Amino acid sequence: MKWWERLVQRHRLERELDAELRFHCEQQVKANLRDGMSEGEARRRALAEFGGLEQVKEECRDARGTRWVDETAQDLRYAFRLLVKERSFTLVAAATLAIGIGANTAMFSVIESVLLEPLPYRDPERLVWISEKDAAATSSLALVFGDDLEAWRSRSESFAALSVLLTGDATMGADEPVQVRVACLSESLTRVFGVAPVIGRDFLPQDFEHAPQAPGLRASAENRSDTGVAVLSDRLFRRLGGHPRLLGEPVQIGNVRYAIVGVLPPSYRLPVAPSLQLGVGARTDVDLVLNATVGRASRGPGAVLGRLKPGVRIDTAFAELEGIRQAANQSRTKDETSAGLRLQVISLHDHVVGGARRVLLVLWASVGFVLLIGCVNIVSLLLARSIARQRETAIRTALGAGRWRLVRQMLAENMVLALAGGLGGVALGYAVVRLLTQTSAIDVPRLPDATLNGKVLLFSAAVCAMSGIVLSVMPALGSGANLGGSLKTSAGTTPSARVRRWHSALVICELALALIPLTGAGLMLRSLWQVRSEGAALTPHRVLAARIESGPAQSALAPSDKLRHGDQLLAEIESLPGVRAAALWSVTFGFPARISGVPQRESAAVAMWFNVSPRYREASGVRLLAGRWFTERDRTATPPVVVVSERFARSFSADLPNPESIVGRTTFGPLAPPEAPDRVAPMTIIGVVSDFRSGRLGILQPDDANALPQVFFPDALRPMAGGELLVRTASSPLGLLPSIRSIVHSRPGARLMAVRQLDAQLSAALAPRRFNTLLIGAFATIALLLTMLGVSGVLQYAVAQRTQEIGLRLALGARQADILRMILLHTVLLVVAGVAIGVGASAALSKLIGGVLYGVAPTDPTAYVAVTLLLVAVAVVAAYVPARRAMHLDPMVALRRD
Amino acid sequence: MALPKSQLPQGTLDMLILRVVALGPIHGYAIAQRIRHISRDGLQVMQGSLYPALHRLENKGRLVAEWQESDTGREAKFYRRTPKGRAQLRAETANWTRLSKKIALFLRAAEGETA
Repeated sequence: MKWWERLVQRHRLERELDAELRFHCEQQVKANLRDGMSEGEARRRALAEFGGLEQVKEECRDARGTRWVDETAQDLRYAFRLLVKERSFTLVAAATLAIGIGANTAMFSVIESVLLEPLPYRDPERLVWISEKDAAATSSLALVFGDDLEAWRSRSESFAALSVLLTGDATMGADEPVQVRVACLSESLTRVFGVAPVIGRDFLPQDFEHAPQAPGLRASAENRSDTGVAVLSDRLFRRLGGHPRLLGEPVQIGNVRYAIVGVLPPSYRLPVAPSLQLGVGARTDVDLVLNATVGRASRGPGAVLGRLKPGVRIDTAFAELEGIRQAANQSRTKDETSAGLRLQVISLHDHVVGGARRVLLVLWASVGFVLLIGCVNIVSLLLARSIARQRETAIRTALGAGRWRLVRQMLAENMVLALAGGLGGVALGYAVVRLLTQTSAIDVPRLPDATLNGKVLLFSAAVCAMSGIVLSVMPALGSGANLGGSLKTSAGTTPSARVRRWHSALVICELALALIPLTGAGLMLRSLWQVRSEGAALTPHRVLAARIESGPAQSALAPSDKLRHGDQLLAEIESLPGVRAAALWSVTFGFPARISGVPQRESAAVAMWFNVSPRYREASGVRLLAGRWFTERDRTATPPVVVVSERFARSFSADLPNPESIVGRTTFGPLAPPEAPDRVAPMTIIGVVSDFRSGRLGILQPDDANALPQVFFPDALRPMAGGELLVRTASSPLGLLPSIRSIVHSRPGARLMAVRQLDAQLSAALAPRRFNTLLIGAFATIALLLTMLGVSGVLQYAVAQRTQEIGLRLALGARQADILRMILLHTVLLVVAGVAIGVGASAALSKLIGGVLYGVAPTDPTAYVAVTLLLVAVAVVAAYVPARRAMHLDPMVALRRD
Repeated sequence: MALPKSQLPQGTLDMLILRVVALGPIHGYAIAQRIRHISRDGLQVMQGSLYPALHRLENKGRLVAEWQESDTGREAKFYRRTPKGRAQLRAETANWTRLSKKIALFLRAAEGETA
């Protein structure tokens, strides 16, 4: 019989035990009677020989090994009764725990789905992200070089498959085009991701023999006999009617026709960044996957996806690719090399999770501190209670309760408390996770998949149990010595120095713990201000942004005609009443920043080159810091002229301490005449404009801490038929939208797409940072409130304990002000100690938060001072109530107490 | 009753029980009687303390118990030895024999020294 069977059948066992012992005694009585004893004597002797019936029964019960279950049940019943009796304590403690555990549950659920859950592909650990970045790796921009990719594909041994992955926004349809997200691959989905279309077919090897050039890559030649094939996302498939007849139908993407060959599974997501043009919060999923070739001479923003052969390590693959790339660089002329760029090979999981990891860890740390502070609060309440219950403890000890039994009793109480908090916490966590997954303002990949699954619940249970143990151990340590204290102690005597030290330690601990999330929140808030003020430097109000998709007829025009058409279009828009300025721009390519008279360094940053029409500065509102902006004459100047951003100038600060002195120098860019497109051309720098973090591909991504240096060149060098349109207006730009649209649409085939207002876009771009700041701010506020409650509680208790001492002092002639000073001085000492520890801990943890900040050092003194002052103020307010009570004590009453 | 009864050393009760039960299924009262008879009244076993030991052995799987009719016609709990019980008895008997020989040897030697 197993112990739990014995537990379940206890009633039967009890009956049998009784029968067995009675049988024994009766046999003995019979034997005694046979020996000639009288009835009474026989019974008496039998029982005496047997030795205490009840005691034997108890020992037999002990032998079952199930006693602890009974005792635990007893403890739990007692704990439950006690907690119900002390309702207000229970409510406060359980609510505190629920907040802490709930926040931790929600956070872990997010972390589990974002950081820990493997990607939804076959053998996802074999997928790697290969990119070439600027050597300082400060930029999130990655480039693809066609010749490198070709060399890797022909010579690398490490990979089962290598494919480009380019994503972008494009238009779909010829007559009524709509905006779609596309991804281009140069390998089949099955070979790369191990996931095949559910309807139709995957890309076949022959699809890549004459695939169209990947859009967005700068290519030297175009092949007119391309055959494009497209695989639809499940969502787009349904939007188009969801009929299998769609397979084989043509679809026009941009100016190229593709044939629909397949449909992806519904839950399938490609590992791509969200669209910048559609703004943050826009869907990150791709509508269409297209086949693409990457020519030798292609280059542009994008990356390579690789599937490692089984058992190949990432660093092995890196070494191999780097070797091949270096060899390829040898045979290239210096200007063409990707010098200044560094190869990066990381697991796809790291790439997808990337920046979110830091934000999540910072947030997780903050909720961890909230829980800790909550626990410390409850500990201080428990400590106060355990001292008040000293007499109860003493009585129980006197009645024979062992020390272990007392500890178990306390553990049971706290476990019941922790369980209540944990249940509340899981409910709270569930609500928070639901809220998080439905908020579009959060720029965290894979977040929508977050759920409270088994692993998360297990984590919550562990947190719950840990809290219970902490709650039991800490007060036991605090009052340890007098756990079995004596009955003689009267309740009102001054507590031991040891207990007072513990109270002080708790206050210091709370203040230090509270300072850490507060500092984090302060730094995040400063970053947000910084970002906002930079956005304001752009004066984004009353600016309309849109994209002009030019029709095929215009794209086919000769460069000089394109330029003329563009100028006419802008002139027509500017002639509308209320329009201040109109400009076209597009981002063209990244190229290592280089200027004359400064040796090229390995660590050169990559600059983004912007093609802009002359009135771009007026339309965007970007500020000129030095030199001048383009004039009409500059459009055709030889050598060509460019304007650079402040960051571009600062990237040479080692050689050019004064960024303004860059004006007049020569830089080099791939803007040579079309006959020799791969040559670089020298260009004169005529001005420097302020940074506005134009981001990677969109106009405004003000939050990109890794913003790139920028170079602006006049559109005459690369005339644009379409591109990004900016219109600055005198009043609300939306009123002018119909007129602008009709001007654009009057061009054959041209369409106005992705219309948005710049300030709204800026605000949307700030949404994730605002949200993160809000979250950490909320956690810090909770921490602060808990700390205030905790400090106030501890001090109040301390004052109550010292009532007699204070009364004595007052009776001996101390003035009320002296008492107030005494209490406040005590508080200030504690605060100083707590803040000192907290500042030290924050500084030690500042590395963690550094990556999330923008324009603010993780040791920013303003934030630290502000937060410290806030905390001190809160602590003084918390101390004021108990101090006042002490001050107004009547010495006679105080001395006679107890 | 002239000689004082020997106290049972700690842990030897189990051995006595297993030895008695080895002779066949037997109930608690009979075990007590048997121990008394075999030791010729020389061992002091408080009868009550027999039962916790029996139950412990049963819970450890050294004994199994069954309710059967006793010779007086009443239902009684009969204990039977299991293979595990046999193994324990063998081990403990060997251990006890060795120990008592060693102790006897020691006492004799010590007597020799003082003499």
